[in-house]
Amino acid sequence: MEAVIPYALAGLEAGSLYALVAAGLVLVYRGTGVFNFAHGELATLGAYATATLTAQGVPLLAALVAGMALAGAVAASFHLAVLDPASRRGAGAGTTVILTLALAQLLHALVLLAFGPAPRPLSLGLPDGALPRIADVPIDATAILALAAGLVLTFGLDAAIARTRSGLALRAVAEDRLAAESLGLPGRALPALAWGLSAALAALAGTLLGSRLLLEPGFMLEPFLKGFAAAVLGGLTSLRGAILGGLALGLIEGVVGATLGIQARTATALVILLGLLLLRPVGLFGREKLERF
Amino acid sequence: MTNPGPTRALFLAALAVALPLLLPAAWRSHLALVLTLAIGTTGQNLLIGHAGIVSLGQAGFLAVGAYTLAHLAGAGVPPILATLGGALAAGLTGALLGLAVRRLTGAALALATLAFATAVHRLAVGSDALGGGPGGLAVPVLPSLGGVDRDLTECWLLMPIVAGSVLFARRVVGSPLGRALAAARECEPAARASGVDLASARVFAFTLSSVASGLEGALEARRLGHIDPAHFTLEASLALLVAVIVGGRAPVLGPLLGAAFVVAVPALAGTAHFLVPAIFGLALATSLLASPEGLAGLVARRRRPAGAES
Repeated sequence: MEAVIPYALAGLEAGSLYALVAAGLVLVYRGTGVFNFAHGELATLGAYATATLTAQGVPLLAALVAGMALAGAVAASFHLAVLDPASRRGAGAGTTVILTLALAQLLHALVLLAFGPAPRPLSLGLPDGALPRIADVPIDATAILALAAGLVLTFGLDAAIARTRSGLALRAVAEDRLAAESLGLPGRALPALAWGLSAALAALAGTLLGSRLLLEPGFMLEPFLKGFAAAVLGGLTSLRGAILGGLALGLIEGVVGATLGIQARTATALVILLGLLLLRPVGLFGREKLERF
Repeated sequence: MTNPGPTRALFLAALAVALPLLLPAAWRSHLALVLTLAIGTTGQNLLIGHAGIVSLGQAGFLAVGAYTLAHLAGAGVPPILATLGGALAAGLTGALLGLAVRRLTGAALALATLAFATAVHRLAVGSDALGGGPGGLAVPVLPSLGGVDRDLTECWLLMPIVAGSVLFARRVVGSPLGRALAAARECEPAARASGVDLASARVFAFTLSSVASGLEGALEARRLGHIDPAHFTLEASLALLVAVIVGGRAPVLGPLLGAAFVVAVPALAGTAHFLVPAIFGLALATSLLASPEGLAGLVARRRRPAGAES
């Protein structure tokens, strides 16, 4: 049993990053009903932008905010310029999936063109290794930052959506855009805001992940799939569900890795994702009747 | 177009035989690749173009076809039977996956099939017994016939297979099942209300498209003489998607033009690797937004008098 604890802790660390990815996916899905297949590439773009700025001597926080703003601006413009007009002309779920895939390809091309295919390190200068150890496991400052940022941002967003007037308006637009717009609510701007915030979360997750791995043009595919698994696990209905789903996925992966080996660990997220989609598409914490927000 | 007369069929056949001879030798391997891809694209065309089901799992079926061929050939099965075995195994996998995902729609289905393909890729790379690890597997190639250029014989061998797949796909599109799929794509509630058994129609489309992908995977592995698991990533599924969307829904011209596009872009891009995703992304978006019938639709539009029914 004791042998499992370090793996479980390491799993929770990874899970806190999956949770950030999942929260962004849920935000867009709940706000506009779209599965964003470009989420990983938006994260990659933000991470590269942050890395480039920090390498130029810009302070980390400023670089991070700039990277998040860049990814957010790209995502919001994509929604305003492409997705929103397409959905107003009656584009179905299949078409929106392909449009987000097209965005993913274009962002991939942009990253290749601007930064090249060679892997590069991204140092956040965090005091990894300087923190006290728990159960003889070195505690990772990146993971703590991810967990803290994930919890603060998602609970903050969750509260904003539940309590503020803009949040209420966003829920109204997500529920029935036509009715909301006829009441004078901005049916284009609010979903665009959801896209922007989602991509900013993606950029944060990408930067944190990039600092633990190496930055590579396609490095977010794996975390993106795991984030999707976490989001489905959380039921796709709430941001809090996404956080729980991410942590649960990390924990399960850690325990599976400890007991069944590394091969089984890499397959865990895929098995969970496929199994849930087939058996219980509303997830573990999801409500049977899907509601947005 | 719908009913080529005997003269026309003969002319097309003669053209098909002559085409690889007329091309410069360096282009023949590109032509062979286009023909191989056209087989898988024909299947995807049924699934995406006609049934409106977006699958990102085709790389998985390509892999099942290729690896089955390799294992059968390794066990001494003759090449033709081993190739058919690859297609059959992929079809069986497709039927099972289709059964499992038949109730999923839109994005959830795309996600589930992506997870499937990723799992197959992991299995191929991770399991030495099944996939031979990251290095892949060797596959015996066909010997060249009497000193004729191997790319030439490949092209001639592939042409009847492409013709057969395309004609079969056209049959399916015109059949009651094809019409049921098209009806479900245009308006699912209306199709249900008129008694279309959507679930089994979808499973059937899934099975056919995975047979085509498996055949493509097996033929391509046999052509290259080697299986590289790097060929079975999301990029392979995306290439098929691009071929279908860019080529358009037309059963004959669509897959051929789409496959040619997907082969031509990386060949022309050369070392400027970023151009491939850039052009693919732009092509996906513009074909969807500007010309839903794809390249084949543009060709047909020019050929038909203005205002004619499509």
